[in-house]
Amino acid sequence: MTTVDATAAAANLVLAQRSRSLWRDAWARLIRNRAAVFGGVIVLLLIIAGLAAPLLAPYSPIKQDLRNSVKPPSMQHLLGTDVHGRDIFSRIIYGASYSLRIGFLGAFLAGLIGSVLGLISGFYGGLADLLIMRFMDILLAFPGLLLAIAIIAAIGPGLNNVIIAVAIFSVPTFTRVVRGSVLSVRQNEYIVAARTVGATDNRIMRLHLFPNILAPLIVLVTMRIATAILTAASLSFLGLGAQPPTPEWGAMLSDGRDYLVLAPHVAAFPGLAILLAVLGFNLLGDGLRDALDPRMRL
Amino acid sequence: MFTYLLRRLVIIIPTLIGVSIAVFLLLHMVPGDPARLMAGLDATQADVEMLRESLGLNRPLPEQYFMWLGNLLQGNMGRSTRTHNLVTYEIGLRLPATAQLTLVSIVIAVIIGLSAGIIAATRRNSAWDYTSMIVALLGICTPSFWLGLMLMWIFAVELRWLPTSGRGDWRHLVLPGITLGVGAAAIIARVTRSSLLEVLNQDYIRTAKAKGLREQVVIYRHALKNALIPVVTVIGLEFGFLLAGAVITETVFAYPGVGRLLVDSIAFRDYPMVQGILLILAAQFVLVNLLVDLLYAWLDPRIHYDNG
Amino acid sequence: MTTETKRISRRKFFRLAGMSAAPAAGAEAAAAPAAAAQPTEIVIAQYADLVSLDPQHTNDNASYGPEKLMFEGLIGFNEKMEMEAMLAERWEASDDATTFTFYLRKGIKFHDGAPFNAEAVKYNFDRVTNPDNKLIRYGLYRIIEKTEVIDEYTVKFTTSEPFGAMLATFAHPAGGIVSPLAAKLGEEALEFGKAPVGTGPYKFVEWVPGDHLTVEKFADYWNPEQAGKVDRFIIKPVPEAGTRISMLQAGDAQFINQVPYPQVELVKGSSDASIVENESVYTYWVAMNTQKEPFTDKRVRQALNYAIDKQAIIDSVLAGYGQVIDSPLAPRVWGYKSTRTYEYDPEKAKALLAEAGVSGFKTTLWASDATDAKQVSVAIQGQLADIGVEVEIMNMEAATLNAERFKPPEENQSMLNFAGWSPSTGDADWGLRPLLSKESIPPVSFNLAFWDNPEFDEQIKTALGTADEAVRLEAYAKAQEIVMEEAPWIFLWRTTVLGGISNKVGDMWIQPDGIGYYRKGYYK
Repeated sequence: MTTVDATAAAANLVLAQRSRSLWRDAWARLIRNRAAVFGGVIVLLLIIAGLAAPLLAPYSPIKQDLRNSVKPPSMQHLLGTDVHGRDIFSRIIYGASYSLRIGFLGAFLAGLIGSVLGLISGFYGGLADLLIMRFMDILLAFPGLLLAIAIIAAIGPGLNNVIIAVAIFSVPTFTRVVRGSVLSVRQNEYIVAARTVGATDNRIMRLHLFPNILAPLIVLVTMRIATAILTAASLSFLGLGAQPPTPEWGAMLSDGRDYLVLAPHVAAFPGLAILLAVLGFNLLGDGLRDALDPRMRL
Repeated sequence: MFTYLLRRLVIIIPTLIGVSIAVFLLLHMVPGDPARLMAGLDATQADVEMLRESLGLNRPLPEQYFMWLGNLLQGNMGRSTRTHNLVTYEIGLRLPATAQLTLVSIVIAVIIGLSAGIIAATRRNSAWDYTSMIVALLGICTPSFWLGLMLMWIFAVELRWLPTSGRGDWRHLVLPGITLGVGAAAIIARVTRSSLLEVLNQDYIRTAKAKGLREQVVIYRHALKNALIPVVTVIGLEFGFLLAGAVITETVFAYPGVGRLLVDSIAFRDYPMVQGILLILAAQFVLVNLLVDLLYAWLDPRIHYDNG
Repeated sequence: MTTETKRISRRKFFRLAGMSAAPAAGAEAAAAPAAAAQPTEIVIAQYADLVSLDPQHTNDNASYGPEKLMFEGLIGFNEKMEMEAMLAERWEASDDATTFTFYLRKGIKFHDGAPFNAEAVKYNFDRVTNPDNKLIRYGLYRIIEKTEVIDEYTVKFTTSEPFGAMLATFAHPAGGIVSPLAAKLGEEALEFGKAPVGTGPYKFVEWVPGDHLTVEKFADYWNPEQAGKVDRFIIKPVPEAGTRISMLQAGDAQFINQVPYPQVELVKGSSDASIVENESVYTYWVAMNTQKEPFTDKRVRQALNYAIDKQAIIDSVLAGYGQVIDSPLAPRVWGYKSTRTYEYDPEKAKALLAEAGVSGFKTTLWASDATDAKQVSVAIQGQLADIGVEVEIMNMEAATLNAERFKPPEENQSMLNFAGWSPSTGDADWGLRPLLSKESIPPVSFNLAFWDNPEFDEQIKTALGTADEAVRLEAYAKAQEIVMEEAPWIFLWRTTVLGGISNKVGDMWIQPDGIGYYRKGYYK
């Protein structure tokens, strides 16, 4: 079997070189894409805001001033104050780190679990596929509310548990997408070839399938960060999110729901922050997709 | 194909049993005492115990589950612990309402989403493309409670064109249908655009174009069918999300649907009702997914299930 | 100032509510000729769906409101929550508060034609006090040992032990009298709640759960002066407050039950609707677990009382619709006595903590996840931080919260607990005993402070042992003084209940206990 190994090694070398230039090409394509760069800048700004919040925010995010409850934007308070008289601008800046943490960790966790399940399901098919996909159906068949109540009831409320709940929300999507990619890649000639020359399953998954789905994964993770931020916001809206006085954007948005008409700034600015973050990650995700895998369906 | 279909249909039963066990365990894991909630905060412990016994909640869990399953096999989902109505009666009242709403919104979503996606893809990088994609992103990010209240305020309160809320004739479906459908429309638009772009870049389409076929013919006869595969997946998935998303829309529009019943029942820990609703929603979801998988095979002959 | 305008508007409300006979009669006379052309259907949007329509099987205000269109008790409450005669003309109680005799009104018929008499009353209380019928108001009336028919229109109740609060218990909304012909027993008992029959001015037509309840005017109502003024009422559950306000503005509803404080101005700004205010019997407080350090020390408990700026929270979170309480009871509860307040004084709070040898500690605050509960808990957290008390907030979904709250003392993790209470009997007993007496420590009832004070319990017992109002009042006054001094709670406020009403209709409001009162509603 030495000849096969040698051939495979040579093929790998070629693959590795090709992939290196692939990534370089992708980068070049990405920075030419104006929308993607715009999205990237937003994401970068959010990360800076999250990291440097104590330096950037003019006030403490939790210091109350009940005598200045629900004041419209002014020179003292750029975006106005909420019902507890807290500075909305400062809360939004501090909130960036919470939303980013939820987004990154939630999407990453879901991506990890989802791709392992999707790989197994798509590659082996049969019983494994059946069990995994039916389990995903069960998961999807649960309306999020019950799942969230259950998870949070079982492990208690708090930011980390929101991340776990958000991740569980997203696992079925990753599993389905990865499985779909595997199903279509599996039919390709080079996989069939690798199999005929006797490569092990593990090797095929690692060397041939995974690199092929890496690009869609990166794109999906980027997009899912946006979804995770949104999901966390709706969890907060349902009262299941981060505990007060955490300046989480979704919680701020939901606090403002009674003021929609009379004092729209209370809900509008956190809403805009969510919008901006989701827009940033989506534009970046779109750009990454176009750059990495122009043929990807998302 | 037929054996595949048969196998998938047969597998639905264990899936649903899985769902029902999962729901049952979850419900009993979540803290909350239906007897206390029914009796009220000012009830004494003795009252609560009496109620617990009459609801059968003091029996061991496996016994409760098998009793429920036994009744289910005879078509009896039990009685709501809250209203004492038959679960099948209460669901029967609301399921048609939710089905109507979900259908209207998915139709709205598909019409808007597909056309926006096609326009964006065929005029890539034009103002049309950017506008529709930014609107789509806005659609994804807009919280439905906000959108619903705003639509209601504009069209029902200010203009008085449509009723504010409730269920009745077709006019009652317009605002909630749009509210519920917008998010899905946005996602469908995005998927249609990228999927169509991909297909349009493929060799056979270029060949078709090179052979001088008219652009429209190329798009509608050749490209679209292939581009539809991921769109169909997304529609299937969105259908499930819509059923869950209907919760907020139904609440905002005081629409008597299953979503709101579910939320109320969870709040009251109305176990038989929650189990009944989730079982029916799960069955619906599993069937829609089966339909999606079948559509796949029809749309993409490369996918065949018989050897899977 | 705000208080001034509020007083005026409250006066305006009572005028609107037609409390003085003259304007109401005038309005009626004016409305009468036009009545034929006017729509005679009032739509009410309320915050939650009904659960049952059997008063004896109800414990939620969303059901009691519609029930009051169809049912009447022996005794009722007026809009200030004072007792008034309804189906009974008069009554007597024995001095030891064990027997209660009612003299009934004559010539009253139920909607199904059954006569209202002593037999019917006996049937009602035999029904609710029999545990086999599994009615959830069993606990409220269980104390009635026997009900005897003296003659056709006289009925006598005997309780198993002295119970000074019995009359108020008959006025409780669960005391609505149901038709003995329609209300079945045993396995069928709970079916009555779906097709109810009472003596009220409106009778049941249909109830589609989740959608609407329809009642129509009962032609043979016994009291012509109080008979229904519109043909039908339609009651719809509308959980979202913004939607209720839209319905009111668009004319899709004529009355909305509950307007959240931040949205009051929205209704006030509308030209065809206004706000109906009523002073409630709801008091809000934070119970401190008096069996756990550091709340075992009275000085610590008082310190926390001094640390909270109640007025600032009322002005911001409640938009001014509340009043600082000077007793665990609201002023409109029978037996209330103005006792004392803890003025906002953070310095004094710090001094008291120092005196108790406590310098800053960590604790947790439980509250529901309702918007206002969340906002209140954040405000309390901020103010306690100023005196060095670090509070972790746990906002829990109501069902979870109550499961945690009702755990027995050894498992109960409760430290600070934000809650509110309205005694639906309107009597001091129900505003004190379930909340503060030793016998009410969870899991039995709602003594979230785990407070065990023999002196207080003694006063409660004295008050219950007699029907003599003077003795009862004195005992409750002493009980309130003990509570305010010992401070098992952080005393906060009583609230104002707010409804929205179309300017086309009148005479509907929300009762102090939060129950919608619709039966007098009419088109102007």
